[in-house]
Amino acid sequence: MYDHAPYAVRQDIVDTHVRAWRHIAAPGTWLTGERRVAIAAETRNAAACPLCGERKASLSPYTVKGEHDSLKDLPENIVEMIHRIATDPGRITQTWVEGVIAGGIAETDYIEIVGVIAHCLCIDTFTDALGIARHLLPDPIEGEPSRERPAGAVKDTAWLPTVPPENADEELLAIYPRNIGDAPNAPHVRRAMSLVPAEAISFFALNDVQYLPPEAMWNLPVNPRSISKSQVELVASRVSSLNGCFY
Amino acid sequence: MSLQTNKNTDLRIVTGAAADVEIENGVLFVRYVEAIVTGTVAKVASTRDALFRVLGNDAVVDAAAVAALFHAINRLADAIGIQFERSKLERTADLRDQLALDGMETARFSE
Repeated sequence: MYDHAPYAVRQDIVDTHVRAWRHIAAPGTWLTGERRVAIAAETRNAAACPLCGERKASLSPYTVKGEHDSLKDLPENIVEMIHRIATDPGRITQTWVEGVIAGGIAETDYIEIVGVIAHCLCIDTFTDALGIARHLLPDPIEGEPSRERPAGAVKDTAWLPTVPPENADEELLAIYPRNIGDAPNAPHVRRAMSLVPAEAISFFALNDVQYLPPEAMWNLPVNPRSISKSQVELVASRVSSLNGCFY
Repeated sequence: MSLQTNKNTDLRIVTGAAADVEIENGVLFVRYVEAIVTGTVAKVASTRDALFRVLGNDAVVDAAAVAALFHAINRLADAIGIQFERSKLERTADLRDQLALDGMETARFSE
């Protein structure tokens, strides 16, 4: 995937990006591969939307009305969701999220859409940062979504249900770090997409190769990166500040 | 207080409230990620080159990787409305105070 990049990219990043790109194209838990690739395409398109630009510049995004400049491959309510999350996430409110759900997007679909947006944005931002052309979006893979909702999801740490560690199966537990240094039990961000475990598991594979794996996060002397942990955290926190993200 | 250095570090550069930071080559990293999130293609290239000249390939790739991951994970956190864990409140109090974080629109705390 990065054979011709002007920078040597770590093999673990290459391998994980190849898997993540296929993950976007494959049938998901609730959405077809075709729908998932369309979401990725609309995520890319959102950056150039004039309505989103106007909303971003306004004191409140909710006062600016209009139509998104979309690719016309998705229903309007999904386009609105993608464009808000992609371009102005720091001003998303619980009321807006509840309105999206009430407007016809199931909680499970909402999470899966967030997952696809996050995968696409992560990899696109990486290529943009290195001055590499963005990867062509993958061809959708045929097949039916699995439609399996995990048992035991509760609405206690987020606006949507998540699966706490005590209700998680082995697959989900693998991304909830425990017994590593003084690691807290399942940081809320790792639980965020657990209503659709496949999204959470795939995205945190990206997290562990691009940021820090759990065994490095909670153990000060362990650092698999070429830059110091202070430098890693400086980068992470400046990005988060620019995006208005408190967590 | 940094656990790595045992020093109190002024981190206000994180919120744009300071122009420097006592982290080696900190300003180079910050300028690069500011360009990634808000800048032009040309700005990304020039700040990347500046980082590359001092620290080389692996540092650039690692910085790009972290920035890209957080650019995405920020959206995940705020689109799903995850709350800040009570267990982190005490040990982050000084930092949150220094950076005036609790007033952010996206500050959501566990009950």
